[in-house]
Amino acid sequence: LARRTMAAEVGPELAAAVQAGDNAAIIAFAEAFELDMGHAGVSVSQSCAVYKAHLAAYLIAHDLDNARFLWKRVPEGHKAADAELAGLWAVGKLLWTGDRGAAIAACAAPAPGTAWTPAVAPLAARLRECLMEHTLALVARTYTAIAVDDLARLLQVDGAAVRALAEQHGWQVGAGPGGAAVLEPKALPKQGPPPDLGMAQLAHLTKLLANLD
Amino acid sequence: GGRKPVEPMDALVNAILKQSGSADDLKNLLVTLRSQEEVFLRHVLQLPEVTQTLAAPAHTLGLIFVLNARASHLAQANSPPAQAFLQQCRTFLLSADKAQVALAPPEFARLCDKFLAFATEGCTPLIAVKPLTAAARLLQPGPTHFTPAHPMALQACILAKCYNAALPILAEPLTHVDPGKSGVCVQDVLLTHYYGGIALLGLKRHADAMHLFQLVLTAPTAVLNSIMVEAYKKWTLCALIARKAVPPFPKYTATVVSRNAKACAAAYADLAAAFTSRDQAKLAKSVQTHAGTFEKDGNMGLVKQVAKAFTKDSIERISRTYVTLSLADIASAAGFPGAAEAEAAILMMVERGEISAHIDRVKGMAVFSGDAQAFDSADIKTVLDKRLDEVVALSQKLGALHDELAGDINYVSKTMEKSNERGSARWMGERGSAEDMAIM
Repeated sequence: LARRTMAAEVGPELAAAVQAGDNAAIIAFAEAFELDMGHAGVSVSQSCAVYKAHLAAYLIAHDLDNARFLWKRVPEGHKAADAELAGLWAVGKLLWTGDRGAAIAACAAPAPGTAWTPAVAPLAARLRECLMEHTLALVARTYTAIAVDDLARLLQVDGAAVRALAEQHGWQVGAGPGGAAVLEPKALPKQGPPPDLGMAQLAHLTKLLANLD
Repeated sequence: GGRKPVEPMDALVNAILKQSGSADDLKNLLVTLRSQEEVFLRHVLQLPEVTQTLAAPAHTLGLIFVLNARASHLAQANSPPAQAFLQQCRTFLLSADKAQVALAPPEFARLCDKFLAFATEGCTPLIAVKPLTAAARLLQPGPTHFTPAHPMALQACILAKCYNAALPILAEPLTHVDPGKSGVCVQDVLLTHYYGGIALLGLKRHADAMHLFQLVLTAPTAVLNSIMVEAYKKWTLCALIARKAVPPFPKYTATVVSRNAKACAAAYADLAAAFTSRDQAKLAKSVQTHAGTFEKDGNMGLVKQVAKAFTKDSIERISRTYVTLSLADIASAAGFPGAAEAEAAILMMVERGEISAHIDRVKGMAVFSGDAQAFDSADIKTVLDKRLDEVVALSQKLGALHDELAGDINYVSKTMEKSNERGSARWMGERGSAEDMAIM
């Protein structure tokens, strides 16, 4: 349903990228759309739909500078017409000031008492997931000791969820001053493909040596 | 009776339609168009219709003149430029033929300039970004040549607040000028670097921006010009943000610049002095005293970033001095209102990879481990490989320049004179040192 709604608004290409969660493709499409003056040739609601995907994609990629400039470029009329657009930027503003917990909370809805439309909901959900992952990784590599309650507030989850995370990553839980539970996080292992140390690397190094004369 | 005389306008349009084929035809057409430019200006009202008859890329040369004439007319009309005309210019620039553009570079550059002016006036600079980027590539005799369209394209990106779009323009370092082929002048080179620096500032790449501003500052000159002065101001601010101090002018800076630049930017020199004195109160006072100047120069945003950089630098110095320190002590040393703000700042610096630190929130302590970076991850390897490739490419470029110079006839004759004077028959065989290459 979400895909059909979005495709009707912005065309199949962008809808497919959103559905697939392909952030790079969303950004590439939206940037080209903007420079090709696509926004001038569609209705306000269609234009807003592309802007929303564009803004959400920048936030998912944690590219706050580009998100801020995009917000400055969006016409004032669009900002007033679409509450969801403003709702997405509210998340961006909170990230800009470093208020990570509030930013995660703001991903839940564009404004208190409302809900994301089916076209934007997958983006908002992905954004929330990414922010939580990012914050958790940051906390893991920075803090040697943090109260369970503090982490719960940062991630916008309850104490039980925090304890579950701690158990999942093998972090020690102890008792701090006043009896509050305290975690001892450890840096999360890095993900990604292992470095290629095979023939390709050997060829590269040989080429470098040849150039050294 | 006789045949009705052919209208000069019709004759011109026919010429464009018939002579836009072979290279010889085009050369003749160019002569005709240049000599008959005022025919277009006298018959401006027919031009919209004419524009419909012609199309790029086939009639690129003719369209350059037609659109230029329309632009002159619209400029005089003193009313906001028609959207339709902006669209026509845009379509034209995106589909023009490079070979035909190369025949009339000054007229083409003039059209681009008017297009940008109209787009800016009509408050839609975004419409000009892609077309002017295309125009720069059309005007370029080669991929590393400066053209008059480069600063225009960068200006469009900046005015449209679309700094990302400047990256493809800045991707290939520009190193050649050919005024005969592209109509480029000194101002174009300086402005390309200056606007490029501003675009990079928007993307928070302060070190790269500083490099471009430095290219403006160190251009050979006999007179200090305003582009250099503005570049100096931004260079100073970038240096404070990226390097925490303003370096001395490079040795190859023109004397007139190194002697007079500071005097033209006293407020900035004062700010730099306050920064290096490591006194936060002094820095705040300097910002306040010169706020008017910074605002007028459009540099207030950068100045605020300088103030932030000062605070970050304080934390970095603390991290280099102490192994562990309480957050409260860090707050008072770095000028934060309280421990919570200091903690938030450290967290942000860790997030950006600017510092290596651990926080014990329960005890309120920060631990600075020195070097937590293990240089064995896949990311580091990718960066290292990329840097090594860049160095190899640069050394190959330098080698090519060296060989080009060694074979240059002027250089060879001067070195022969020099070695004859010295009485030795030294020939430039292997790549010698800088002293060997010196003619003086």
